[in-house]
Amino acid sequence: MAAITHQAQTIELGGSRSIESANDHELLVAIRDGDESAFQEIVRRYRNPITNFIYRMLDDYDRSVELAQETFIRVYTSASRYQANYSFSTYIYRIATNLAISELRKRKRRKLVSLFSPYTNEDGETLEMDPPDQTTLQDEALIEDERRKAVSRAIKSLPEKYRAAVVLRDVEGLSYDRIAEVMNLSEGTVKSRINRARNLLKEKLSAYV
Amino acid sequence: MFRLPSVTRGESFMNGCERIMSLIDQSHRPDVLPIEAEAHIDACESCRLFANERAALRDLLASSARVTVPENFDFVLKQKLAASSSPAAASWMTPAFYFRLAASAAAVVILAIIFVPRYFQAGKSGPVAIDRVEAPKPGADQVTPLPDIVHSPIGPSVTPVVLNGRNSSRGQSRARYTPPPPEEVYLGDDRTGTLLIRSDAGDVELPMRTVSYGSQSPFYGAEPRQSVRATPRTF
Repeated sequence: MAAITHQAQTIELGGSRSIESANDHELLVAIRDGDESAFQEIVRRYRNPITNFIYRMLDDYDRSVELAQETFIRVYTSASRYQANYSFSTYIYRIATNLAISELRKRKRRKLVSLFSPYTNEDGETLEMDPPDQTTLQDEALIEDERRKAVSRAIKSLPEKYRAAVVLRDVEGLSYDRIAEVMNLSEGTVKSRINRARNLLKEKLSAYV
Repeated sequence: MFRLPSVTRGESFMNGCERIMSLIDQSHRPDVLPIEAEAHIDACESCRLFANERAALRDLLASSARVTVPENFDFVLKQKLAASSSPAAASWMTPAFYFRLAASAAAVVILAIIFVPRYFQAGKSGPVAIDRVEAPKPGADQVTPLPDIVHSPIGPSVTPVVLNGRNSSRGQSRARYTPPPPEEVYLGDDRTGTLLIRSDAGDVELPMRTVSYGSQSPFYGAEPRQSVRATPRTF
């Protein structure tokens, strides 16, 4: 920890190392000392991965952006309490995971019904509202778009405990031990959940695999 | 030579495949498998199929389009950060706070106006009568006389209050609160009271542990007790 503090002081005082080359721990120490540029660098590094991760969890872009911003606010406001026991990416993914799971539970309680949720028509058939996109697309783009929607639907249908694990592993590419740290679970539990999630996804995406 | 029964050998084989499948599933990259798994899938059709399926699924998930943040992400974040880190002292200095403060002060003044003279009066004339409420006199704005509420079954230390009304939303008469004359309403020593609700379905007496003053009506209509309405006055 002392070494980290020393390095951070080097960044601040000497300026011999650029902020871009500092590692996450050093940036956190600088944020703790009130360095806004260090915070901007952390945001720059993680804004897209965190937003993408939350988006994969929620399938709601606007809310994902809001929760990603909330993640960074929590990083900033709790920088003084940050302990360097884990890597910073584990720490920030843990915040994002907790926010996303909390949002999913809220939605479950409120039973939010999206305009795009399946609905029952007059004949009793369950259909999904999918308004036509007026833009002209090439065949490949259409196929790609359909595949993307299928993947989103399949991920969205997973139970939340499986969803977080498989998104962190197969979409974000985190290792099992990192996922175990993020989700505060044993590595064995994480492996089991990812295995179950993949089995479920394989059934739902059988047309694409 | 001892030979394992076929079932046992089959189970052993399955356990071996399960272990390989587990290795395949847990490989860091779907296209780079442990040597043991590579050797196994060369000879095992089901495990090779499993490996191919897993690789395709992982590729599909990994290749799904990634979203990026909007251009105003940093700007909005700074705004939110500024709002969240603004001095806490300012958070309560809002118009709503001043309104609540004024309402609370008004409530205190009203309480003082009502109770302070009564307190001195009680000091002069002994204990306050607490088991007596006169039925409202029939008049221009009165409801049915209530002769049976004078003697409350709750006991002497209660203050019956009459609420007589119907649910106006059904086209019936509007709920009417029959306020007893102020000098006839007293609180018991233990500050309990009884609310008498008169309705078509019969009278209901609700013992009240607390009696509140304030601008917000304490009673609300709720299923199935439709006859309980917000009173125009609180006591």
